Amino acid sequence: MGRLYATPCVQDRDYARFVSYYIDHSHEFDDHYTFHEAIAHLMICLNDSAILLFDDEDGKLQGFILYRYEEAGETVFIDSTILSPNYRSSLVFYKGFVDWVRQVMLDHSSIRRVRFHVVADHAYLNRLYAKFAKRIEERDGGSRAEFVYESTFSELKRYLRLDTVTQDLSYIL
Amino acid sequence: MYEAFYICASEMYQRKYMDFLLKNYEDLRLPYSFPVAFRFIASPVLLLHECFLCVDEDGEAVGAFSYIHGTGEGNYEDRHIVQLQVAYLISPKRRTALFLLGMHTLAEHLNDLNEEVTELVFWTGTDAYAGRLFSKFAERTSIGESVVEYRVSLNRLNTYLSKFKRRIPV
Repeated sequence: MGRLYATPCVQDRDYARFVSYYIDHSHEFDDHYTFHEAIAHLMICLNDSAILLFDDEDGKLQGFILYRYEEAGETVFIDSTILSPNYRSSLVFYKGFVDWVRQVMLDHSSIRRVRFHVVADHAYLNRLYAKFAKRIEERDGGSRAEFVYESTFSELKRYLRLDTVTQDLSYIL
Repeated sequence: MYEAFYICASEMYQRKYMDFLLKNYEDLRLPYSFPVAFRFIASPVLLLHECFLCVDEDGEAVGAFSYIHGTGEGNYEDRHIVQLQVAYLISPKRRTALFLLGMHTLAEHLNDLNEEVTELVFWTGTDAYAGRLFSKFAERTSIGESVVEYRVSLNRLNTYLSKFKRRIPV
């Protein structure tokens, strides 16, 4: 397992790669998430969303974070994120998250909070996200219940040690 | 060399249709932003049975086209007009016989539908080659900066294609 390289999705060919990857992997959100739901979701959200792509050393897409700005750029909402199974490790997760936070700060210096939804019955993800975000409500996510998480951006930066000069991530692994 | 067009009636073929067009996305040269172009390509998938794949003798996709019923300006209530969303053949397969076979497949499909279709509308690039090709059987109805709109009645298309019966390898 090598490292991943983050790049914002700007060019058409990157969008096309992202959509192919999303369609191929979207069953990982939920076994009941259909091909047609994936298409419909992309048709709706591509217009006002940004995407950070994670490529491996051969330029093959291995993950993404799909997100959008809300509330006049004060809140960033993470729509969805997938990482290929071979790359699911704490180190890749934290490095990718740091890359994403840096990108968000570049896009919107006025950003104040981050929000995302997690399926309620996924114990591992809920434990992981509870480390840096508060569960603020439960919602009906269609086929399954979801928890809504929120964190202030400054708290997230503290958690990722982006508020200090150190780039060393070994302390949280 | 053998190619055939199939309706993407199953999810497997719909996935193949999407995958093929996304792999060749830059070569489609659609004059829209990606989110807009994606809606063009993907909406026939959601409407079912209205996308087609051209497959070669090895089962590899070499072309695709799709349509929806109705036009944006008619609020999609004018279902007797069919709007071509995308049509593409990889460059080694761009020859007259296969182009005609694709047109024939579409026309036959529309002739056999349970609802009446009277007209087709489609858009092409502004290049001279496209102009020569499509003016043979369709009317230019508007010319934009990056796209030209064509319309043709299904009757006229049927008549045009009947001239090539011997060249269409069905």
